[in-house]
Amino acid sequence: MAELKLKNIRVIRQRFELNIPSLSAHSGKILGVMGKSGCGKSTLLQVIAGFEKNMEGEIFLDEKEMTYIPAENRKMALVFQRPALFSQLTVLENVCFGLKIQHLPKNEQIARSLFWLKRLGLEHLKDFLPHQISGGEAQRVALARSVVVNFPVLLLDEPFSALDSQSRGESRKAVRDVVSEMGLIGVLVSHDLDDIKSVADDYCLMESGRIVKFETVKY
Amino acid sequence: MNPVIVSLFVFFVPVVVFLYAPILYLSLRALDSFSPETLSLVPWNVIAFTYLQASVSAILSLVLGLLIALFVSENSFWGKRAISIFCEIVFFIPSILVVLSLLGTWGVQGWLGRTFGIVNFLGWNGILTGHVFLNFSLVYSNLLQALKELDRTEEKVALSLGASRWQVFREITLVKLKSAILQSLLLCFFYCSSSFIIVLMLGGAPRFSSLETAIYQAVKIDLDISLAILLAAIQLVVCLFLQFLRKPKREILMSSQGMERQTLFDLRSQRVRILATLIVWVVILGLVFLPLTHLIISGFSGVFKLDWWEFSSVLIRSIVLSFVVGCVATFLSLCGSYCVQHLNNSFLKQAVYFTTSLPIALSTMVTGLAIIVTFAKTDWFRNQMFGVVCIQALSILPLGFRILNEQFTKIELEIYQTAQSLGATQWQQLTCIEFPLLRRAISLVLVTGVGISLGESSSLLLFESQGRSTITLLLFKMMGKYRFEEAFTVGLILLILTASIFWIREKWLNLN
Amino acid sequence: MKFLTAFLFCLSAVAEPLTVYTYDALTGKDSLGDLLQTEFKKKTGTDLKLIPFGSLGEALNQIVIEGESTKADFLLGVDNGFARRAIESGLFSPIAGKFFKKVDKDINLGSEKVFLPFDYSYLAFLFNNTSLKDKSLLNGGMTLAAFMTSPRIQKKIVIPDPRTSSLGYLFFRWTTEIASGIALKELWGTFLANLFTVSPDWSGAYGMFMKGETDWVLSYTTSRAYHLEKEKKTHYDYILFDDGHVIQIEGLAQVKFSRKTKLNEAFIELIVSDKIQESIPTMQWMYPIRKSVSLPASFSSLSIPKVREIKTDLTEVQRKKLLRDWSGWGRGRP
Repeated sequence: MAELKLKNIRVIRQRFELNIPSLSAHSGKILGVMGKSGCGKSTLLQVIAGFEKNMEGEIFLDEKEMTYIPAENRKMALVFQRPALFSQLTVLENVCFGLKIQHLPKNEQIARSLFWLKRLGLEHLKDFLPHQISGGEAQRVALARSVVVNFPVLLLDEPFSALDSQSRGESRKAVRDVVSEMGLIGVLVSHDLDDIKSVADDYCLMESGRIVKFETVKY
Repeated sequence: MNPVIVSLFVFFVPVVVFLYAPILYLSLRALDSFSPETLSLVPWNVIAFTYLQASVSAILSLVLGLLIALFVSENSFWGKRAISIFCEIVFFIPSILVVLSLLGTWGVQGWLGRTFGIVNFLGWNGILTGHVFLNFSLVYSNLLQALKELDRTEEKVALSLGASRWQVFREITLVKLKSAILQSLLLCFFYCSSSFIIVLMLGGAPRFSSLETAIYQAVKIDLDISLAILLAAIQLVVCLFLQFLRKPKREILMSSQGMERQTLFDLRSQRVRILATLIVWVVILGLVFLPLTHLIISGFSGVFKLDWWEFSSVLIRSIVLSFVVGCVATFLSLCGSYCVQHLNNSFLKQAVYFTTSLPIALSTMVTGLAIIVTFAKTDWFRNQMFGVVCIQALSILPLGFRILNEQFTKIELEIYQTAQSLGATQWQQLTCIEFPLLRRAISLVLVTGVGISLGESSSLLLFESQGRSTITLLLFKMMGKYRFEEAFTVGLILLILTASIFWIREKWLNLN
Repeated sequence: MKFLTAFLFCLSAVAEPLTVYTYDALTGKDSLGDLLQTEFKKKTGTDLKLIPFGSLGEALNQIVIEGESTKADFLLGVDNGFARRAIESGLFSPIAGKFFKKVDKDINLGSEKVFLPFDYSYLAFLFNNTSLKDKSLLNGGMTLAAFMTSPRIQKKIVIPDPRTSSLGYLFFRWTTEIASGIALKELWGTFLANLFTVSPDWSGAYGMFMKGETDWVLSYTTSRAYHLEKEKKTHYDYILFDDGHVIQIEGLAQVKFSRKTKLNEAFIELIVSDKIQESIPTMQWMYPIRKSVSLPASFSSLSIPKVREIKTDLTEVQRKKLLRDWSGWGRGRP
């Protein structure tokens, strides 16, 4: 069972100081990180992804230290609140993007991408451009793009905030299913307790850069 | 009488008389000038050189400005603030001072010219260096702003999917910056193709002449007005086309989530970062810092050679002229922006917008020639400063209008409605509400206009006659006669004046 | 009433200064222009107003633009290169023949006798004997064409622009006497590639030369006299061409719209007077047009070159076309 471990993480910001002595997440499960705006939860995600340079502490993935490994080599896929699809690429090309980076053969790229698009009910949109699809569909395309690469870690930063209730429901289900089926380590950041309770297995509550509570979600 | 009608009249009458009518008349005369005889006299090689050097200059300025903007935005390094300041101050340096500083540093007898054994700085070297000096900072400022405003979400996603930083930069960042890059490139191309002083003084004619210098030559030396009109028509068509291409279409997204901006393309290797820092410093030192330092130090050497009595009358004349230009430009800008704020007719509003952006597309020689051919026989024209005030005020109008229009739009509708409900007439609203709110912006436009006018030289060269001189003309003459010691002193005074004006302007902008 | 009006008109005409358009080197402190103003005031009690322009071309253009309402009474500094252009403009009336009696027969600005000469000198290439490294060009037997095409110049030469400077134009006309058509184009093509630069006027070119930026400059034989007399320097010299040197003759042109008859005559007389002619060598650093005027010792030591006449006449249209072609001759060369 793979594990993502954080030790003595410290980041100093103007409004708060992020101080996490210890935190871990496991494969096949989603760790929720909840808190009000400005409490440092997105910063925590940035630290895990490798975008935060001025940090102290250590990050381990399966006992291997990741602290000094650049973001592009950490194999931790990111999904943001905004889908951030590449506007000049079609839906299929967006999903193929990560596989293209890995220099997989073209037909394999297409095959794997189409599998995930089908899995998430988006196959009919494969030739559409990002501005031609809805917000909920775009968010699921972003999810497909992040899972098709088979990275061990999936990081989600408020992925449902901009969605309507129906899309939200569909996206939550998709995230839960993908993580458990693929055995990924999921970390979900949200300010919405419903999001956390419907998707995460465990969650921690943050306030002013610190974890003040840790609970297992009871379904 | 309704202040809106008055403003409309006051704005459009001078603009129609001194801008639209002359340009239209010039265009009609150009159609008349289209004869085989006149066409045979057109220096097509000069036209080709104009756009060739503009292309090379624009590309070099773009590459330099983009690289420095990227390096500054993504890395922390020693002297970062100083580099930013040097890149920004170039903006307000008049072209003639650029020529003086570069000749003093890189000319055959210059500090660096002698050190590196430069045989001849004039020609391609001089023109490209002068253009890059002036334009790289424009690119730098535009692209730095665009980079600061860039939403980096897509880039982060791409990196998290394993793309290398070079792939992300090439396929995502550059694509997002495409619009800003293209705008900067077109603007540089426009400035370089309509550049006058740089080509005139650093070209080492006749090998390297441009359309602007050819028009100047035709008007001032040959008095071949037909040829001048034809050349001006060619320049006008190209400039209008460039302006059409340059229509702002920026799609930069605001940075998200209020988070501190993160760097994604910083140089990770310390050695590479040190080397890059050194390279940036060497470029800025050679291009900006050393020439300006030389100007300042050499400015003291000619103090005892300068005829201070003659110079003081020239200085007073320059300041008075600049003040008049600043007032005219401010007044026109105010009328234009007032019209836009209060007009209901969308056609008239569009006409004002179009009018205030038209001068950007017109080079000094084109506008100057249009005014000459239209007004040459009138009494107004005998006063040489008439043409200069027209051209300079019109060139400041787009900037002045933008500043005032922005401030007008910040006045909330509720304020007007409250004033109306209390019985205030439109004139009372203008004097008691709008003027006090716009006072700082009006002063800003005036100060900017004065600063730009003080350093402008092209229109003065075109209209100058009968020995009445201004500070830039005096500088031009001194340099032409190789009286460089006195020229550096005059140049230093001009630099102090324009720097002070723009320092005041920056203070006010920050207070705003 | 009519008499009173005429009297007042004459009075106003006399009170108004005499206005002369000229190039700026002729004005300023301790210049010939300064002396002319002093002497004219002494002679007539009326002010002489000198309006400086960047070049003669600009001064002439100003008169063209102003037309009948021009304030100019004279154009001072018209030379033999510029004369055709001035005549074709139709703006000048011939100066009375009696004034030409004081001018030596060899010196004339055209057979029409429109312009009155007041000084002259020989065009020559000056060099600084101290800084010139390659002196092989000074070994004698040199012609203008050989000099212009010599690689030994090594881009260390500057000339005034023929389009803006009358000296530069005269030099250009000199070259049209030694070559024409393709040969002229080839000659200039080589020379332009070998030039340091062209300067808008003589003073800019000379300033560059004096600062050491170039080894050679187009100037006059009498420039050597200036350095001998004023600076006691003997190392500024000029190269002599076996095929002769062109002369520049400067003169005075009277604007046809001017009605100040008496003042005009007084000014013309002053130009050819002893006082002014004796000052020409040490103020203008040119030869006076009267051989009877004694010259300073520095002038006596100058070698007088063989004279090369400009025989062919160019109309204004031909001049413009040739100069336009000229500006393209240097292009494409390294």
